[in-house]
Amino acid sequence: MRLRCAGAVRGLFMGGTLLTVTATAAEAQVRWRDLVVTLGTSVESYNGNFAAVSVPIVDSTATGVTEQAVAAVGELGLRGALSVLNGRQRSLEVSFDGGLRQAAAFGFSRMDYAPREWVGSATGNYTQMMGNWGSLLLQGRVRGRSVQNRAPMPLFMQPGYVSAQGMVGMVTRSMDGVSLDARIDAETADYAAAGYLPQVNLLDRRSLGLEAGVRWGGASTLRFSGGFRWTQYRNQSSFDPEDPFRRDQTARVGLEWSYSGPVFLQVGADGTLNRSNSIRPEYDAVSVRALLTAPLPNQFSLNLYALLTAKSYVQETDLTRLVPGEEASNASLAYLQVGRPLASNLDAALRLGWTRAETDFGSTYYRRFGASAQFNYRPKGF
Amino acid sequence: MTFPTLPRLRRPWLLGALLALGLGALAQPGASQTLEQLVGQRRLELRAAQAEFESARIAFNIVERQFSAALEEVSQARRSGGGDRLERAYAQAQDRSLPYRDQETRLVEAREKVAAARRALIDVISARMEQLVRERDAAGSAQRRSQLDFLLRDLSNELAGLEAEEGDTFRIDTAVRPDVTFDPRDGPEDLVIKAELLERHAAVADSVIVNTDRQIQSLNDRLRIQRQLRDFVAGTDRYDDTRVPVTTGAPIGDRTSPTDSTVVGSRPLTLEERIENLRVYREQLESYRDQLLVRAAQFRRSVGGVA
Repeated sequence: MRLRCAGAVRGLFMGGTLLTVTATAAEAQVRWRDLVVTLGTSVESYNGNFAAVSVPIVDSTATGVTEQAVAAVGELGLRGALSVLNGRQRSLEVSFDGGLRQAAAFGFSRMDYAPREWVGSATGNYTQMMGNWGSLLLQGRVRGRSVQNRAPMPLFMQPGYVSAQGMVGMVTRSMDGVSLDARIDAETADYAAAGYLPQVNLLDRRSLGLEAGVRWGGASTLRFSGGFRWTQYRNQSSFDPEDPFRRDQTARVGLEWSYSGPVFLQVGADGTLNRSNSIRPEYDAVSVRALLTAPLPNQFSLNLYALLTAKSYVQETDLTRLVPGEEASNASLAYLQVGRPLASNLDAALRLGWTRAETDFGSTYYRRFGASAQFNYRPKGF
Repeated sequence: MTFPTLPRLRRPWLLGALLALGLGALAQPGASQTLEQLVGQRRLELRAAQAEFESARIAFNIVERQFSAALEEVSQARRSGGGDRLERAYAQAQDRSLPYRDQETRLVEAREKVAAARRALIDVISARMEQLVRERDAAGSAQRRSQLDFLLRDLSNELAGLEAEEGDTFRIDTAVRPDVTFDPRDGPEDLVIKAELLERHAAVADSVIVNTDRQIQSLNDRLRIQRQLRDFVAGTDRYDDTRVPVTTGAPIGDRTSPTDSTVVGSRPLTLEERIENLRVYREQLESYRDQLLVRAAQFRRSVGGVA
């Protein structure tokens, strides 16, 4: 049998060339990585007998201050990710997330409130391989939030703000099962204070943070990390004439275990020490958290996120502990969600949520319960 | 005649030779160091081959652009009526076709060198892992066993990455055996042998398709989990219900993965990219298998004509 191989070699040559040229062109190709439209509805219940510095009106009747409020909520969201550069050496991805949440609040005496939240964020992530030792990460992010017709307490909503953040980081390749990572980031945040609510401006800040971590393992990893953050609140007084504006230094150490396989599980614990030139915000806190995503029979899936925080203040004070917006900084919360695809590009989810957050006065808390139904739609091709 | 190499299939003879080398070396002091040094050497060789391939790719891109421009000039000269301009364009295209062909050949050779270097590294890592397993089993202390476990895990990650990287390129040559052709001197027996050869290749393609489908299914399952996680986190984070506004840091579920220890100088592929690559590869395999079967049927039909 006489077989000739020249044709086969030529075919391989052409295939290889074509593949290489295609790969080069593909590096600069802009491609959508994800696009999701979210539609949701929920019922939220808020409990707590307290007032808040951040809220302009206290809803009260002859029998006392409103202790419970209920809100029916509808929401619409859109998020997506776009791959701008997609090479083996470098990649650039731009992602965005925006949404509108409209609530109709019940249980108040003075009037019916209809708070509306607009949120939006955009993030750019650039990754550059650095030879054979690891990769360099650059990230820029802007985030904004606006709240209209904000309701009195206890229907707490975060105040509106605009923030910008930049980050430079690196991750080494695994060496003997160990990889190192480090990052430095800077952030500025400007809170949107209405004319009648100048207190919200107290939250305006600039901060600089460092974090370093060491990680062991592959699919199952253990990460130990530590970080330090300097924060300046240029509108807050320290009550010290020689150092008049509040400056915080925050040290944090954390241990986290992650497993990524048929299920995703992340469990972590963090310890935080916050020290300041103002005695009011000095505290120690410990938090534990867990995040789980697991498939269930019949295409159902289970998602769980829980964060529990314990906090103790370093010094006793008669002053109001928190300024508006700090309420959630040491919150405990839990979310449980069960989801199932209804079609190839439509997922449905039922979610229960619970939040316990500190009020303005420190060591007193409000609670929020919610149940929601959400639909996530991905257009064809995503 | 070489048979297509199936994905993840090691060369048993080379593996055996390396194992023998490893076992032989074990009897001497510094045995593990020898095999370890060999791994290091193979890594360097792979890195050198990758650098050479990158240079060849850049050079090819340059001449490819020049050659395309020359062909474009020929088209334009032809449309504008020819004459001297067309003659000059033909001459230029001819001049540029030579470096184009040379660089194309260089590129293909460089790619083959990368594949060979990667395969050599896979083989020696496999041998080293076997050696480490034996060392771990024989280790006297828990501390030593733990150290060896770390080494094994690292090598296992490296091996998985190399195999995945290997899978990113062509796993079998899907050129439809152009070397198997009709020859006027072929008798019925030759024609049957050629038909059977093509059918065997089609059967191999079939089994690879089944394996590829399994890989796609597994990656799709992982992608679904990843998307559910992203949807869940986005849903709870969007309105600052979980995101703490007064401190910064990584959002929940954020997992900065360490760079894959194997894909030296390259970022790891995303799940979407890996699925897309496998789908393209599956389409190629299907077309390859169908064409093989069509040609095998032609050979079988011709048997009657010759007899």
